[in-house]
Amino acid sequence: MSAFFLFFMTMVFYVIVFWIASLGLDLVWSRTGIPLFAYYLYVAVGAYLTGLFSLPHVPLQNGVGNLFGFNLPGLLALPLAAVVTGLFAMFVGAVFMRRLRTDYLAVVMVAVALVIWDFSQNDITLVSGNTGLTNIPLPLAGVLHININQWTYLYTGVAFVWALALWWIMKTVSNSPTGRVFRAIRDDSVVAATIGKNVYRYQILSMGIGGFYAAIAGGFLAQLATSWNPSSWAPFEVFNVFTMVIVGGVGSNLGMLVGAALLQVLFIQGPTYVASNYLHSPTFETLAAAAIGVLMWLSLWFRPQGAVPERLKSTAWYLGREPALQETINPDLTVEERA
Amino acid sequence: MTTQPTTPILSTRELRKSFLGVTAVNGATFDVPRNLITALIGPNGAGKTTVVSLISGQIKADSGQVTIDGADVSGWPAHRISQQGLMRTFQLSRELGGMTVLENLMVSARRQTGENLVNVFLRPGAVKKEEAALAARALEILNRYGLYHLRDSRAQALSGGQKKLLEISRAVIADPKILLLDEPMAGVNPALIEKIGEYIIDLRDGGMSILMIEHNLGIVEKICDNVVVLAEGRTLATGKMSELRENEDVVRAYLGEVINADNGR
Repeated sequence: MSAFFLFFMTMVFYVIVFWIASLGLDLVWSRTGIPLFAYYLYVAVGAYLTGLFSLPHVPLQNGVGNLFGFNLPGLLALPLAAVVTGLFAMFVGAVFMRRLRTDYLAVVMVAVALVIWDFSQNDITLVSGNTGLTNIPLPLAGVLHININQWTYLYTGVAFVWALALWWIMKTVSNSPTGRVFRAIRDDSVVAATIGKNVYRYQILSMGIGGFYAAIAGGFLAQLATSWNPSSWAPFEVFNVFTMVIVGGVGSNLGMLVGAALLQVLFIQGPTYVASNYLHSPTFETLAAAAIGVLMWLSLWFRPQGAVPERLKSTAWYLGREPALQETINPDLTVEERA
Repeated sequence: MTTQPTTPILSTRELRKSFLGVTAVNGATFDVPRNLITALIGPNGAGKTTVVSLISGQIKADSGQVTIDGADVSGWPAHRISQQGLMRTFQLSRELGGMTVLENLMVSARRQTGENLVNVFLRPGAVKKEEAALAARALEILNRYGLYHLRDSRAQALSGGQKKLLEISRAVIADPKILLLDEPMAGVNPALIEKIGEYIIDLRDGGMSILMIEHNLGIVEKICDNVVVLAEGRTLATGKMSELRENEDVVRAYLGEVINADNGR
């Protein structure tokens, strides 16, 4: 039973981590309209940086080593890595969104992610090539003298606190006038410029926030695995996150949790557990992963709004905070409305 | 700095633009006077819509100068020209389809505290207050233009005529100094044409300056104070509609057959 409980908590951990990841992609893609196929690159950059910030510096020797290491506590390394990744995402956005739009931007984004993935496999000086980063410390484990199982339970809680904070921040951003500008850009960037919004600046801001969210998810993944290397991630994994966003419901913060849970439980972690403990068949696992594509397709056909559809903000939502204003707008119409 | 009321609110000098060797605008030069409705007319392909897009910054001019209320805005990006006090509508309505009608207006308002994320998190009270007041103002405008009952609908669900009204309301909430309307009455039923005409006159009486592209000379004669005739990307003539009917160049380029057909209006 204890083995099952460990599996269960690990799965919960993945659900939380991918909730965070899909919140970020949802902002950039569904709410700002940027086809950010390079999103998983930011997950990876966040993971690498979390590792580097929490590991000591290892000078290059026998093809293994990392360029720098700060030996910081893991709890500090994670947000620091996310801030740096956010800035990196803004830089990438500033360069490529200067002159590229829609389809072309999407293609270039895929290319950027692939090039950097390839680079990370072949360059040994920066992050040890295919060996990658190993022995990434488990935050708090040394201080509290707990074993890895206990740490997993504890850290699932830490991730949950992070996720709640990031959910609240995303909710606040998307309900704000800034979030409204993002949606205007998504709907028609020409109109957004016409009404005086600096489209380029807002797109870069959105990319930066998205990069931050991706990096938090990546940092958690690296800390759970205690290692990160080019086989820990592939740029294509972004399609899993896209599926979570679509299935959960584009533009819906809680939908992202539903999407992440659905995919992790039914298509990723769940099948892995069943395959290794009961079926002893890796085919089942790979078929489940392949079924994610079918899920995305069926979801787009039959429920494009997702499990939890985006909720429009009504007049009452905007006025609710100042009820007195409702009466002053148009008394006769309000009467008609009541009828 | 205050500018003389007699200076034009908008002027263009020698605007030029060609697309892949085809000249669309070839030296357009005209003034739009303050507090008046100016019509921009001309045959199809005269470059009217291109001129509007050059003025509002959606397209960059090859050369030439645009001045808004005394400020040279040539080469500025669209959002800065907009912030200078210019709003425009589109020939084919461009609504923000995924947002509600109310939000289409709210997003268009100027200088919103909450458009800066620092304020969203550090001054939430100020942002909330401003949002409620803005929503109230947006509802008043929607009410004025007969869109109040649609306030919570997605903008993409609106009819063609409603979208035209939405575009005008979205421009009005920003309280522009100069409003460019690209065929605000195209594809609209006669009763609504009448109404839109009244709305435009009301905006002028409220102190706004308006430049509108319009093909229906009956409407131009009825509501426009001033007319600029464009042909082959050049300014052919400016003046009152009644004067232009006597102008031989104008009659030859544009009015020829239309003038008789339109006489009854």
